[in-house]
Amino acid sequence: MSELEPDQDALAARIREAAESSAKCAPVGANSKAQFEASDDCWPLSTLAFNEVLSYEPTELVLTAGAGARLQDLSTLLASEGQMLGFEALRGERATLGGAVACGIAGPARPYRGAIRDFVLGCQVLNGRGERLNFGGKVIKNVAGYDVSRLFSASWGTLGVMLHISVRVLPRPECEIGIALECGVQDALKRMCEFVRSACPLSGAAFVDGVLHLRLAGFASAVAAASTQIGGSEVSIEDGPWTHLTNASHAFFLTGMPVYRISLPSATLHLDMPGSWLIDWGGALRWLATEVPVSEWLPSVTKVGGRVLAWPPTRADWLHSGDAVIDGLQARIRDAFDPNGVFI
Amino acid sequence: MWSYENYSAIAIQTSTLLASITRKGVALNRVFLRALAKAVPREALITRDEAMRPFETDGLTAKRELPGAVVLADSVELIQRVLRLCKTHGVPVVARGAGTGLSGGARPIQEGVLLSTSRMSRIIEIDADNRSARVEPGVTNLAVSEAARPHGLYYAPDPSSQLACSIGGNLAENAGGVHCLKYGLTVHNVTGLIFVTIDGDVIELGGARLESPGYDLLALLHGSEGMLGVIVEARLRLLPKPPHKCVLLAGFPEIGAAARAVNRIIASGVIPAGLEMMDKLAIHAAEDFSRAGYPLDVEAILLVELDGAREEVAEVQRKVKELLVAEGAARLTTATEPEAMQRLWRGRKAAFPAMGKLAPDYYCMDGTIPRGQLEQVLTRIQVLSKQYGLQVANVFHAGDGNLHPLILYDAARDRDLEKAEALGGEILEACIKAGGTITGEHGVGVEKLDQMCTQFSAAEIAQFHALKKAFDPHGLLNPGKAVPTLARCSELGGMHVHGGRLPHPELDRL
Repeated sequence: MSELEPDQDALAARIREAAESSAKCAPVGANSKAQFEASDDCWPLSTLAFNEVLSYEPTELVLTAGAGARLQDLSTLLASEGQMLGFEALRGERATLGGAVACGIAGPARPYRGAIRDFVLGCQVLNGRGERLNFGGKVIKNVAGYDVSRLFSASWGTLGVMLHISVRVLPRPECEIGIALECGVQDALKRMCEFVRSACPLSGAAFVDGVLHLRLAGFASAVAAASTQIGGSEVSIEDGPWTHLTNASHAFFLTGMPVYRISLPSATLHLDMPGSWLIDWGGALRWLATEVPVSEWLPSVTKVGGRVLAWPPTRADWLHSGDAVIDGLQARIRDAFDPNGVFI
Repeated sequence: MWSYENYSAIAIQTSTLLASITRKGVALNRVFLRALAKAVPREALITRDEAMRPFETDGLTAKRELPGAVVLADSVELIQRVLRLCKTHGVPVVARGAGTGLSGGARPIQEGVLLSTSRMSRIIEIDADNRSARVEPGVTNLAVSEAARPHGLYYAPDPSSQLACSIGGNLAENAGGVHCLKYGLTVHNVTGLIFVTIDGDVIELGGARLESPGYDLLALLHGSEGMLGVIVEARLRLLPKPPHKCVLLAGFPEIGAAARAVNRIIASGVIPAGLEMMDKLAIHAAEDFSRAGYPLDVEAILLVELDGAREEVAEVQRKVKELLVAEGAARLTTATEPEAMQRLWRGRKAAFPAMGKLAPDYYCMDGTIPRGQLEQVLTRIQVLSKQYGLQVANVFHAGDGNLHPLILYDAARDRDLEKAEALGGEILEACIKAGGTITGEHGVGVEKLDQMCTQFSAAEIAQFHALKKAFDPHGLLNPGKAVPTLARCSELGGMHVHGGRLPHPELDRL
């Protein structure tokens, strides 16, 4: 584990020192996603000391906190004002705000509420020169300067260290319920597509173990009306698969079989490949556990506009675009933020 | 292929160009123009001054400049050819959609090519099941929603110019609109795009899926004002039409009460589809112009649009009405029928043209502030308005704190335009001071370069330049826009010492 850096200046000094001694650095939060990078031979730059809430005005729907603040603590604070984070993030119960934004791996509400970066309004960062820079701001509408704060989202710590992040927050829905419908996979995909087209107040739609799970959120009257229309049996949110889906901790992931994360257009018909499936994001995210080598089925995913990541992926897997021109551009972008190649 | 037809086309264009070059003394050199005429079909190239007139400005009309040449692109291949050629010859390129932008982002430069994408206006595909539209950049914003309507879907971002503005421009400026508070800006409603780099490479980002590996270049391209690449296709997220809607109109005896009502609505957990405010000057002008039925004996009105399931709209409507009344709403009108709702919106939508009755010219500003600062900043604007002797009408997206002060002036009057610009600059500085930003949805363009120096530090601006260089090392894409040079900022910094007023306002500061 990393030692805590007492303040921003010390962190900046560490970055400059690394540049001089040609060492590598990597920002680290709670290390809750350490599975992605087994052994990094580099200096950890811990953000855990930056865990305070810098500003939170419930009427502004904006919260600014240190990158090291735990999502769980932020959620508790927000709940006391009847609000919540707009996104669900992998390892949300342990993860930090910085880690969640830096990795950008969103939970089941992704298609309905938005990506993690959609909630990022601004951030303060240290770049590879150790310069402290502010981008974006604390207001929802802001087009001054390039959108660097969203670029930092899902950049996996390769462009700099985030110190503070401002995020848009949402009112907590008055009511949230789970519904379970027994059906086959084809039928589940078809129904997920119908529900979302009919303005149903969805906050989750997943097909797990032969059951179509729906999560409805909003005003009680609207949720009740939608639930009556859908039918099925009500399942409490706690008993539903939602937390395990958010954290990729469902039994599906633990069989020892290779797992793949497949992102594709949500209405794509069921892909008939051997293995077991878990479907999230209303059909837009499909998990496949299979022993069949990826090379044998990759073309059928590419053909429908999909992308495949072996799970759990490394930082390089997340960042490798698979296109030589884009990868070249990304290398130059890295260089623009980190000319000395300090960050991992 | 070389042919007589080609040759004569080149000959004609070159000679007209030479004439214009002599007249203007501009340097689009002959070698480049010959190569351009060879690469671009005759009907897609404009080089005559009179024919280029319509392109000399975008929606920020106060300053004009004729481009060196205009290319009306009708294909990705043509855009690739033009960009490659410009790169080889070191000639700047300004991309342009419908030219409705309000910050001068698409203003041409005389030593460069203006590359219009307005002819690329095909809706390639409406994929109803994936709620996705694939469109060319020249498609107008409204055309997307119209094409989606038969499927019960629509495209949420709706800038007030939606009848004319193009999707390419919407992406380049990260356009907003009336419904951003609930449905987000353009960046939240685009799942993919294709752009051409200055090298002529075609890059596809995202798609109809929601996740792609690599940096979030899709987000970065939004609002980048044509500085990083030329957008040639977009994948837009469509939403199902909300089953029910209603619009509330509330009049307030003072503007502070209206501002407080806005905060109370948000604090109550309601996110309205639209939440707009107009002040007295704007109300009177709009009512005079459009007969929307606005109350004239109030200081401010709020327009609140609610949408969702029937039960939800009914419940939220009750809740919002209570809050409005609690803040002293004097007049309250509820519209639930499409016609009645349209009537209430008509005044708001006519507010800008209605200004024409109050003054020959107006200058539309665009800053965002935290909602809690609305009252203070509006008061500050009133003080500045008196100080400069120019009227300011306020019509704005109150729900997201996005102000659009309209500064009324008369360009024919000596120094009025300069005064309006200086007043606008001070309003933007007030926005920054209140914890906000100098542009919510119109972009920086050429208009707000000076205020960028106030909002960002030298190191931040240098970082922007470094990022731009990763895409465009020779600075050929839309040079001189969006991000000021550090030299400009340091010069301004010196001038701020002398009271914040710019010396030599008559000089072109671009």
